[in-house]
Amino acid sequence: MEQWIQLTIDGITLGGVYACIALGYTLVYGVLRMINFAHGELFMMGAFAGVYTLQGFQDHTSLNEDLPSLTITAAIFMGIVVAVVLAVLMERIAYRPLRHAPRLAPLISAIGVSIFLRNVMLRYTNARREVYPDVFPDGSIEIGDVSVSYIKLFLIGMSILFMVGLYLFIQRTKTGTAIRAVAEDRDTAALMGIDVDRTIVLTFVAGAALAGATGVCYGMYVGNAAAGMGFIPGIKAFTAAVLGGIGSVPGAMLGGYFLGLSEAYTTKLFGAQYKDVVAFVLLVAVLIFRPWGFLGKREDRRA
Amino acid sequence: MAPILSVRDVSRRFQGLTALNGVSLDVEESSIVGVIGPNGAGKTTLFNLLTGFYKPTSGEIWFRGSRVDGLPLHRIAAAGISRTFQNIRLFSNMTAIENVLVGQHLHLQTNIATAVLGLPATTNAEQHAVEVAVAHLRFAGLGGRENELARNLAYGEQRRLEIARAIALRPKLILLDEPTAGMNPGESDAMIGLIRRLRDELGVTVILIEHQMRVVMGVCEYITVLDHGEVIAMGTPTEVQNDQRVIEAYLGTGHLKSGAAE
Amino acid sequence: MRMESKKAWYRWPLMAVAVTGLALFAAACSDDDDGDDGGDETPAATSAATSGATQPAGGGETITISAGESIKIGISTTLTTDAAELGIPIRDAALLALSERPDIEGFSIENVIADDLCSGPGSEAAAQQLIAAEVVAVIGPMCSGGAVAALDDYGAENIVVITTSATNTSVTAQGATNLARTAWNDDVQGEEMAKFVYNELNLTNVVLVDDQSTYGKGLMDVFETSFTELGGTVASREVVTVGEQDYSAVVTTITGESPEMVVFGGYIAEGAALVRQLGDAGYEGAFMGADGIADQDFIDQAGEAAEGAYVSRGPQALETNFDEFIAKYIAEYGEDAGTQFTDFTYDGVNVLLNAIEQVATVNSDGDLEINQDDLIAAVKGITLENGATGTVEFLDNGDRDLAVGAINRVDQVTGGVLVELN
Ligand SMILES: Nc1ncnc2c1ncn2[C@@H]1O[C@H](COP(=O)(O)OP(=O)(O)O)[C@@H](O)[C@H]1O
Ligand SMILES: [Mg+2]
Repeated sequence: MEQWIQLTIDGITLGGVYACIALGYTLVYGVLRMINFAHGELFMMGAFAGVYTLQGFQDHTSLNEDLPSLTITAAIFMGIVVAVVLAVLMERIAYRPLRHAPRLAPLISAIGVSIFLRNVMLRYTNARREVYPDVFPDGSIEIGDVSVSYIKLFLIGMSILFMVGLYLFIQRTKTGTAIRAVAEDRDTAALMGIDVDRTIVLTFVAGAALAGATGVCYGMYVGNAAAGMGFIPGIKAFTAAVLGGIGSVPGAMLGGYFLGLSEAYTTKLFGAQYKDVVAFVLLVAVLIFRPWGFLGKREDRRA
Repeated sequence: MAPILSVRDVSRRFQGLTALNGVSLDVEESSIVGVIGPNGAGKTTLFNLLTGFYKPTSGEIWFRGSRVDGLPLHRIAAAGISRTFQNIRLFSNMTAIENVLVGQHLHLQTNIATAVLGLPATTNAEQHAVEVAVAHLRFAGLGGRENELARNLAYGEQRRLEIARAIALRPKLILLDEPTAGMNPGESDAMIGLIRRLRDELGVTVILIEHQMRVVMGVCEYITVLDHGEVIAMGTPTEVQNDQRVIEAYLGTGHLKSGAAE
Repeated sequence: MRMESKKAWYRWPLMAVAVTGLALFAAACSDDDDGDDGGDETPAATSAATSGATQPAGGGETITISAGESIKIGISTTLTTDAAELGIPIRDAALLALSERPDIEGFSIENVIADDLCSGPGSEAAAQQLIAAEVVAVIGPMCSGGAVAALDDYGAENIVVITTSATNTSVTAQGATNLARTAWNDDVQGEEMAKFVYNELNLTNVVLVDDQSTYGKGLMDVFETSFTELGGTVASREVVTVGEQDYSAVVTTITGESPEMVVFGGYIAEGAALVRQLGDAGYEGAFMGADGIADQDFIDQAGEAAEGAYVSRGPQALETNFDEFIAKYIAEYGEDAGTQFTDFTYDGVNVLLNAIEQVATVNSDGDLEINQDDLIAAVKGITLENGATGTVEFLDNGDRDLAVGAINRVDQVTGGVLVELN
């Protein structure tokens, strides 16, 4: 029994990461009907920004020991900044010029951006992993036989915090409402005085901020940043977004946790070699029986 | 007094088809103007040009002293033109009040950080915005329907929600594309009342496209008649009704004389 | 106005991707099944390789290099993906050895580097690239899965291949005649690891984890067989997925078995993440990995949890010139990459260059001639004295002859560095 609780925690940890990344896919899909395949790379770039920030503190100050909360906050902040700047650039350079091109074009452009960013970091790091300084306090909370390390709690907590923040942003702010309006009907939103281009950029910014921040927290958790680290989480998060219903914010969150838990349980039941198979089977099943996902909406018929 | 809107020799072609051909039209501030004409005459195209959906192939559109053709949609909206649609285009997955809040976009001031953190500054501004939105809904006769999803509203309510959303922009000119389409006479009368109040209470200039002659004759002060993309008549309802070309254009359609709903 | 499609347009492409993924998985599974005793594969592989080798009938083809052109040496290693942590030092060591011998018979030596992605398809693509570049011989591929996949491609062209790091049994079990390997055979290593754990450490209950690669899985297969024969128990076998980093669910499964030791077959990134997360989960048993993680990067990435980990460094000659080699390497690149295979690669290149020197002749036109069969024979028959990894000689199947004076070196992470156990 303890093991199942432990697995549930494992699933929630990873699921939270998937969910935070999935939100970026879903938001951008909402406004552009486009899959930003470079989104996983924003997560990766965030993790690098975080590791370099913490390494900088490590090399030049003693703040990592004296005031880790400050350096960790700074790292997360840098992760957000870097991811956001890159997202704005990629929207401007790689996607906006293709706004009216056939659907495949921005998709291919996105794959290109993804490969580019990955290779820039491979080059820069000489394919080595950058190791996060040990800033987070070691130790764990034990409840019976279940043990949850502080860093894991931190990751779970941060991912929830990020999601709640995003949810409030989308639901309650002017920009969030504009994003939802553009997602539903771009032209009508423009007639309401919404600057659609700007809103699309802000959508990228919101998704990127989330990915960058999550990248830093995840990097601290696994202890390193690597050029290839965004690839698999990116694919998984995309799967989560589709499972939950791409375009749906609550759907992305649900899909993320669903996938994380399914992976954890499958690992125990059948071995880790089957977890991706289970995920793919789920994906195929969802695509066949409910192509709009758990919480997604059927696309409206509209002329 | 200079007209609030001035359409100058505007044409619009789609591939081979000329949807509008050399249309000129002046609209006085605070008037209610009707645009009529048979199906395919180019009425909706005119609205699409006025709101920036399409750019004119030639000609100019002036609004409140500045040229608006060629501006992006949101800039034209900000200049003070808003509209409703022949085929209703609400944000159907949002609630009624959210639709109106989107319409208020240009007049909202919220700061991302304070909103996410729920700080008082935002809460006040937000509360104010909500109050204004509720007032707009009441104006359109949708009091009490605030939290209903737009797609769950009745057809007539959806039409009125489009108007509530349109006035949330605080426009100077509002374009109504067949606001009574599909309504029974009772609903149409209520709509006529609402249109009058737009002008009388809010001071908005109104241009409406309408098929029901009862509505057109009852509410419009001036009428422009389009046929095959050209203006064939202009004037007061009575003048237009007796215009020979108008009668010919409508011959056989029955609309003009009988005033029956489509 | 704007038309919205009624159905989600991404449905069919996604479905295709998912189904392809499943198909690939099914294929991988069936591969595993008949790959369990690599011997079964041999006949087919052999015939493919030999038919290729015999193609240039009558004494093999002779490569002619016109005066003024250079002798091209291919290097197939991993420059991208996580495995590049091992692959880039391998490239660097090869370039170091090549730089020390700028020409043979007045013909300059040129390197052609191809990224083999540490994978089968990647290594085949690299092979095609190198073949197209008309290389005389190839150092690599880096990984066992890649070597197995690409051998047929090189065999068909009768190009001699010296792998300096692909240690899986199946690499030399294919029966390819054009192959030599300066690194050892995992059969020996896996068995020695099992003996070490069972006899020296007196541990009897282990969990094996591999990264599903030919190398990692192969090594753990051998370990399992040997360990079970010795009387030990393999409580369970788990896998990790390359490219992922969160292995908590695997860790939870492992700790549920309460093993005395976790043995890992795979490379640095996955090994480090596994050790780190075992530590986070409060696992207190021992850990052992092999040459795939024998690198300072492993310790840096795993952090404190790496302390005490055992690392099998494979069967190695007692008498080596490693110190001299590593001094040169550091002089050239600034630091010791600390990886296992730089020295094996350095020796591999020198074996190759010596063999070329033996067989290359300048003809009357001033062109350099290298007979492929002669070159293969020269490589296989070589004796390289004073190598960075000791004296290099090969068995008939291409395996390194480590019969004499070899030890099975095991290191332990002590104070944050790998320290050789005696
Ligand atoms: N986007 C377009 N592309 C091509 N033809 C169009 C387009 N929009 C309108 N038209 C054509 O222009 C003409 C006028 O249409 P419209 O303005 O909708 O007429 P109505 O007066 O009935 O509102 C019609 O023939 C219509 O088919
Ligand atoms: Mg129309």
